[in-house]
Amino acid sequence: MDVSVQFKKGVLELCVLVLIQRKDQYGYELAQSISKHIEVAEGALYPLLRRLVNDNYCTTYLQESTEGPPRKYYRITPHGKSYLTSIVFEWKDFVTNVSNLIEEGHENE
Amino acid sequence: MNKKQYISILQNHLTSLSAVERNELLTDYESHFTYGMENGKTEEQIAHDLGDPFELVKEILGDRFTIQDPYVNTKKTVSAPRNIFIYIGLFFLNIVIVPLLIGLWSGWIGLCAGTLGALLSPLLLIPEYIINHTFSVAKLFASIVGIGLGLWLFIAVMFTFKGLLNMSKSYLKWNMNISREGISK
Repeated sequence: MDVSVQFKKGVLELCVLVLIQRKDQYGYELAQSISKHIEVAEGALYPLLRRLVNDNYCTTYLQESTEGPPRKYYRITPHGKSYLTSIVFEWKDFVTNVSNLIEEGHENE
Repeated sequence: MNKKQYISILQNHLTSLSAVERNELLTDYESHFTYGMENGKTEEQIAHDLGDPFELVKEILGDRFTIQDPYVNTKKTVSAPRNIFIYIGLFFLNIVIVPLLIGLWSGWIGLCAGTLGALLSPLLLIPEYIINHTFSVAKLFASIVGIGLGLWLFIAVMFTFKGLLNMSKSYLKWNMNISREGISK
C-alpha cells in the first residue's frame, strides 16, 4: 500500500501533463480524469500544479462558468511539451527495464 | 470531515507559506469543494477523495522546505593547518615505516624461497645423476633432512605471513583513519 502510494506520487506529474496536453483542464476536472484511472489523494494535485506553473511547464487562465466560481484552467507550454516527451520516454524505458528484470527473475527460479 | 474543517486545517498549518501562496492554494481547495458539490458529492466524500489534510500539509511544505540534516551544520570543521600537519606527519612516518614493511616482506619472500628449496632438494639428485652419473647416499640423506627442515620452515612461513599481513593491514587502516579524521571531524 505504502509503496503503491509512492509510485503514484511519482507518476502523478506525468499523468497531469499527459492530460492537459490533450486539452486544457481545470483542477477539479483534472482530479476526476486521474481518479478514473488511478486512485490518488486528489489534494496532492494542487501543490503539483503550482509547481508545474512555477517551473513553466504550464500556464493558467481563468474562465467564467455558468455555475460556481470561475475555473482556473491549466494549459501546457511548449517547454512543458518537450519535458513531457522526455519523461514519457524515460517512463517507458523504465517500465520495460523493470519488467525485464522481473521476467529474468522468473526464468532463473 | 466537512469542508470547513478541512480548509481550516490547511489554513492553520500553512502559515509558513507566503500569504499569496497560501491564499492561492486555499482558493484551489475551496473551489474543489464547490465543484464537487455541484457534481452531487457530499463535503465528506470530497474531503475523503482529497486525502488526509495533514499528509497534504506535509507534502505542500515538503516541496519548499526541505528539512535540513541537523548533522550537516554541526559538523566540526578542522582548520586547514591541522590537516596539513597531519599529512606532513604521516608522510615522514611512512618514509620510515613503509620501507621497513617492504624489508620485512622481502625477508618473508626469502624465507619462502628457502623453504621451497629445502622441500625440493631431493629433486636435485635427479639432474646430478643424469649429468654426473653419480649417486651418493650421503646426499640422499642430506636432502631428506632438507625436507624435514622445509616442513618446519613451511610452518614458520605460514605464521609470519599471517603476522605480516595483519600488521600491514592494520597499519594501512590506521593511516586511512587518521587522514579521514583530519579532513572531517
